[in-house]
Amino acid sequence: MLVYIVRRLLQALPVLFFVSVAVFSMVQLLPGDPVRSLIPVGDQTVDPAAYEEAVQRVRHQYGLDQPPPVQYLRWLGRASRGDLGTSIATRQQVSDMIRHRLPVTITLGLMSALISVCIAIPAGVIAAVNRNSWQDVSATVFSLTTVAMPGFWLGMLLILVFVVWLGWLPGPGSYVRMWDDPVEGFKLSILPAVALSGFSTAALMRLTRSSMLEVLAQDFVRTARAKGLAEHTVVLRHALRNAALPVITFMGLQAIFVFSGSVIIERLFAIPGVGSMAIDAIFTRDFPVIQGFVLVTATVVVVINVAVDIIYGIANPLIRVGRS
Amino acid sequence: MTGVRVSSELVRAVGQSGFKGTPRRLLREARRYPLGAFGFTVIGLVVLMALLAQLLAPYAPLKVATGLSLDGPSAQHLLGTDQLGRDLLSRLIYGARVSIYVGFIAVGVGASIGVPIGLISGFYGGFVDGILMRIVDAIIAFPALVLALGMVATFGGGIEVVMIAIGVAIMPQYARIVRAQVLGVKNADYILAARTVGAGGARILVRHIAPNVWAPVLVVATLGLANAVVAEASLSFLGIGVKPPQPTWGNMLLDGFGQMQRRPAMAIAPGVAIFLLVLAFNFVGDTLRDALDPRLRGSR
Repeated sequence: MLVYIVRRLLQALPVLFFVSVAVFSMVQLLPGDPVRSLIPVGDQTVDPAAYEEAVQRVRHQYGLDQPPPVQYLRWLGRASRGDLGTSIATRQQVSDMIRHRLPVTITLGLMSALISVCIAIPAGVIAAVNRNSWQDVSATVFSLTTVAMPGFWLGMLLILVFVVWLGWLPGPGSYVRMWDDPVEGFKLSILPAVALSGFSTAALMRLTRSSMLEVLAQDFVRTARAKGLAEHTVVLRHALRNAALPVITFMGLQAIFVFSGSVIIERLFAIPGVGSMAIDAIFTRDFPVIQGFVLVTATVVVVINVAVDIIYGIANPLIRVGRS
Repeated sequence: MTGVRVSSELVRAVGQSGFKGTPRRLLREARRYPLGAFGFTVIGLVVLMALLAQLLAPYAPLKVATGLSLDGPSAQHLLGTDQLGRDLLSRLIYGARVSIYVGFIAVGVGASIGVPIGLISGFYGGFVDGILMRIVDAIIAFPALVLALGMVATFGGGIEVVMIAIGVAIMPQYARIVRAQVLGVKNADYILAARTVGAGGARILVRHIAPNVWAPVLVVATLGLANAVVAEASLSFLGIGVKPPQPTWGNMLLDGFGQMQRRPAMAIAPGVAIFLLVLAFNFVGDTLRDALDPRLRGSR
């Protein structure tokens, strides 16, 4: 087991290396000279020699006169100490901005994950147990249609129905954090959480249904039934526990959905998380912020993937031995 | 006279070659895979809409009907007009162009990077495999929208960057499935036979292994089209994809979002178009998987 964990951790190192090189290269690939865009163009016409000198000075000051590998190592060193540079637009530390906004995104992500699990797993189990019943057909129709619905459009429809037409919930804007005002915060978060959860609910339902069907057809389930155990014991204690494995893997993917989805859902619902921060940064050409966001996102995804693989590895032998 | 004889010969020839049975066979397949048939029809219609937009659209997509902004449905404007007085239906029809174009190019980009990587990785194994697969893992670590966001920030927006970004983001799926497929056939007897008669590595890879991977690639590509359509719409909705005034379904939804109170149709119609196209690609992809590879049946 330990060997497996260590090997999995070692495998993540080259991945993180390529991720960091890619994020670092973003700056190198930027068209134009970043230094020249920092210095007012007017200086160039007044005194070309002084301008060139200023360019060289700034370049040296930021270490941009060093060869790229040296720049990369310095950048990596700073990034690994949590120094992601300073925002051009707000003059704040990028790491502080991300730290400040990450809880908002994570709250949204957890809420949507909770909604997915609470709907998808029971529905998937019911659909599998009553195969080809009306419950099964409606669960399948639901998941086929929801998977095809872009999350942001689902969000728009939810706003249209619950805010514009019914007026039950407050519209986007004036976001209140959940831990400042739970009631108002919940009212503002429920629609984006549902919109964000749509795709994963549908996919998770399909996955739960198919893995339950697979497990229910196995010998140990028949044995459990033959022993005379109650049907709900067989389904919940014996089958569901074994069907949970692919579901664990799926929860890792969920983290990726949340980051990808939060970019657009936060924008739609005017939620001040890391996703909307990144979009704002694109419009203000605030490069350090974009770079920081991309780096943090990719690193988190790598870490979650490793964690999921390790959990999977821990859970797997139990299943093989057939503890249940 | 000769004309008649030629045509009757033609009919006989066609009849003998089994051409006559084709519509019936198609119908039988359609009955067997109703969802696939539905999806195929929708895709066909959208492609036609994209190709014939100039003929089908009642107005030019950028033509402004003065004094008719945010007009409701009427005989002149079947779906009404947008905030600038442009015909919604015409814009919807022209929007199909972007979705289809971006979808196919992005999938083409993804497949043409991913398939060779998968082939090489699976066939040569070892160190090459290790490096290539870690690069693929690194790309997977960037959620599609985040990757596209970074590329747009670096290279600027526009339809070309969007297509390449989506292509790179979906590339790992091809690399992984092709690699798995290559690993499956690499040690088959006929590969050994080819080796025995002196075929080199490259020849074996291209002539004997590559033909085995097209079926799963086709399935991944069809499902990838659905992803690409959604990704383009998402980027355009965020205002960092295809630039206005070019009508795309994503841009139109952004306009519709601002006019939700007065003209909900603007927020609904383009979404329905995306939804139907994505549904269609998913149905066709699932059908192809069921038809081409029984082993994968029910795995999604």
